[in-house]
Formats: sequence, C-alpha cells, structure tokens
Amino acid sequence: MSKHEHQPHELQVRDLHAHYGKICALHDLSFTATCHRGVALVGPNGGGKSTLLKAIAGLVAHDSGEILWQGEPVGRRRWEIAYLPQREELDWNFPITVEGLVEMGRYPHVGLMGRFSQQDREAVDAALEYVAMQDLRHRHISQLSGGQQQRAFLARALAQQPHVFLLDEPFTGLDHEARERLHILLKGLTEQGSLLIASHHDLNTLKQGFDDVLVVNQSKLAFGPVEELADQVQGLLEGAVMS
Amino acid sequence: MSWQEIINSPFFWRALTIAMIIGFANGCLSCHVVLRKSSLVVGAYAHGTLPGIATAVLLGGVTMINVFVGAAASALLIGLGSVWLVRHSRVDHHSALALMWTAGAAIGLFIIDRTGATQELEGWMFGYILTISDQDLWTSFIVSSLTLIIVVVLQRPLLLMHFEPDVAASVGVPVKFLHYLLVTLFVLALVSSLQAVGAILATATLVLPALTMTQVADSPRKVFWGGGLIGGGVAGLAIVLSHLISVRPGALIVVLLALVFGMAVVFGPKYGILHRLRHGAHRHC
Repeated sequence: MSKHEHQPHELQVRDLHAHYGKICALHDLSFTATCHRGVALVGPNGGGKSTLLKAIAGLVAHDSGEILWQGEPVGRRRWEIAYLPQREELDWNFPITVEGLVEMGRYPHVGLMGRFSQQDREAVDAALEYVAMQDLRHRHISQLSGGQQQRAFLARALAQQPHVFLLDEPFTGLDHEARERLHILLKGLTEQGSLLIASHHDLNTLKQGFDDVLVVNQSKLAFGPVEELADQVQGLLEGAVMS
Repeated sequence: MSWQEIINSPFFWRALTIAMIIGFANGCLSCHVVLRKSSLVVGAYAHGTLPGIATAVLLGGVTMINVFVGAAASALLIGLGSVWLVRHSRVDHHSALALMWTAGAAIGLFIIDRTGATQELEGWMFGYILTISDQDLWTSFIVSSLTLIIVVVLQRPLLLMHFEPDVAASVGVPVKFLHYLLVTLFVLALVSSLQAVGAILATATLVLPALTMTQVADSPRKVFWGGGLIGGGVAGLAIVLSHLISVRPGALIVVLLALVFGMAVVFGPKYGILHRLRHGAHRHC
C-alpha cells in the first residue's frame, strides 16, 4: 500500500509527563518503537492508553518530556502520523459516503483549494482496494456494519499515506469475523513497513495481531516483544488494578 | 398588489435582491451551523441581539449602524460570556447560553420601555425588508460575500473539524481558531439579516436550508451549495408571494423554509418517510 521506501524509522517517547487539570495521566513514560512493528498498547481503564495515543498525535499537551519521530518533534511531520479515535465518538448521520470519508485523508496533501490530482485519486482507490470496499464507496457511513465502518476509517487513514498509525480501541464492538479481518489488514500494514500502535483489550489475540506489547498504567510497566511478554501481561494488569 | 404594480415598484426589486443574497449566503453557511450542531447556539445568539439593539437605540437612536454594532456586540458578548461561564463554573454550554440570552432579553425589555421605540425595535427583531435602502443592500452584499468567500476557502478544514475534531487537530487544523471564526461568521450573518427577516427569524435561514439538504444528500458539498440554492430560492419566492397576498415577508420566508424541510422529510428520495415505508428501513450488513 505505502509508496514509501521504509528505513527503520523510530518513534521515541522520552520521559513523558501529561496532566488533565490536577490529575496525572502519564508520568516518566519512555519507549522507542520502530517501523515494521505492530505495538499493542495494553493497560487498565484510566491507565492512560488514550492519553498516550493523543499525546503522540499532538492532541494532548505534555508537561515535560518529548516525542520524536525520525529524530524530530512529531508536530513537524503531522501528516506522517494518522490517528483513528474511537468510533463511538462519531456522528453517524454526518452527510458523507465511504468515498467522501476516504477523500478526507487526502486533505492534508491537497491543501485548502487544491484540486484532486490523479495521484490523489489513485491513493483513494488504493486505500479502498486494500480494505476491499470499492463496491461500497458510494454508501453512506451509517449504512455500514461495524467491521465495514472500521475498515472505511482505516482506508481514510491509509489515503493519508502516513508512516505511523495510532488506533484507539479499533476492535471494540466488532464481531469475531470482523476482528479477524481487521487483524489481517493491520498485520499487512506493518509488513509493508508502517509502525502501528493500537490500544487493545483482548490478551488472547496479542500474539496473533502484534509484534510488541506496551503495558501502561500512567507509566510504563513493560515494553518488549509479544513473544517474551505475553505470559506476563495478565499478571502486570492484575497488579496494576490491585495497586 | 397587482403584478404590474409589483414589477414597477423599486421597493420590490430591492427587497427581492437583498432577500436572495442573504438567503443564499445564510443557506450556504447553514451547512456549518447544522454540521457543527450549533442550531440552538445560533438561536441563542439571535435572541441575544435584543439588549444590544435596545441599548444602541437608547444611546444613539434608530440608525442602521447603531443597530448593527449593538446587535453584534450583544451576540458576541453572550457567546463569549457563555464560554467563560462554562470554563469557570459547573454549568454546561447549553444551560449557560439559555441563562445568558434570557437574562439579556429581560434586560433588553427594560431598555425598550425606556426608548419608547417599540415599533422600530419590533422591525429589527422580526424584519422589515421593504424599508431597505441602497446602503443596506450594499452592506448585506459585502458581508454575505465575505462570509461566503471565507467558508468556501476553509471548506476542507471546517468539514474535518465538524466530523472528527481530534483527527483534524492531529493533521494541523487550528480547531480553536476556526471555532471562534465560525462564531464570528454566525453573528455577522445574523446581524446582516436583521432588516430582511429580523434577528429572531434569521435563525431559521441559518438552520433550515442545510437541515433540509441533510435529509436528501450524502455529501457536505451538496448540503453547502444546495442549502444556498434553497435559502436564496425560498427567500425570493417569499418576497413575491408576500407582495401578492400581503403578509410579512420575513415570516413567510421562515414558513416556506419549514414547508420545504417538511417535504424533504416526507418525500426525500433516499431517507424520506415514504421511501422508508415503501422499501423498509434497514441497515446494510
């Protein structure tokens, strides 16, 4: 899908501190993730998973620390990072079709008044093809199943042609078949060179869908390859809840 | 009036022109009011113009510039005051707006009693399009053109912001700036509509055209331009009909807009009640 020749780019999070008012959401959080990897972001509710994704996307101001993508602050290369919020927050009556939604992914490239070029059209078509939704391109977003909706939003992110995908609870509300299909699509993205970070609850599918796991409860509890950490995650989460 | 009298009346042509300009501009802008879910907010701003207009009339008499400045200042004060209240208390935005505009309207009534200009004020609140001067026409034309140019240029970031504000911010859209810009444009549109339909009825011209289009269209572009065509067309038709049957033009614009909306809800080709009854409402899976 991606047209970029990928080097092993790094996303570095160093000593991150973030607050919501007086409440500490994240502290002393550091990790480095690289391209070609799918990172499962795991932690208890209220543990700071969504805040971390928003901080990387530039939506939450952090008090201290830094977030670097390819050695530069993430704010300088915004379009290289695609953020997919939770689907529950959306207005499903918004007048837009699947195609219109995916075209939104090209807005950062096209600019305010620029016309859609052949390259933009091809990016939209390729994104729709990747998620197998060409036949549904003229359908309104409210007329899609949960799995189709998630794939449509993934296509919007793909059309942006980013290097990093940040997904907040992408599997929530999907049935088994839709989850399996989404796992395959996300796996394909990392194989093609993207870095993917997704908040995730289902510990049974960690090995199936991800390469690394980052366990967070305001600060980093563990980070490393899924193969090494998968068996420890349950214990870490239970310990986090108890504390 | 007969057709001959209507066509020969300079008041008619001036009223028709300004109604269609404002109807078209407000109709286009209504896309952003509806997609931003700001219909009630705009209604509150509209009611909030009353104390400003009354104060301006009390201090400087009934002149167009006085009324414009008073209305805009008052609506902005209510908009910004409600935002301040939300940030510094435990009140939600809609409750804050309700408090601000009802208190403002009450203060406005006290001031109206002082001015003794009840009839003129009624004109500004409910519209008096037949007294429009060439200067009013040009003012409305300039304000409407400026509003249209701004929202057309900023169409893409605005749509991103309406649909997914977090995603918009993540790709660099200045969402806070655009929010305040939109509030300013809503107030400007309200104020430029004062003489045509009045502050209260202007809310309808800033909501109903796009609301109608959302019942039949699946693209923001169609809602935007379709809203403009409905707004301009209905306003023009209302001016002609109001001359023929002698009713208030401003009120007729709103009634016709509501009728068109009702028709879209019932007869809409894709989401209309009749269509759904015929084909059954179903989700595609």
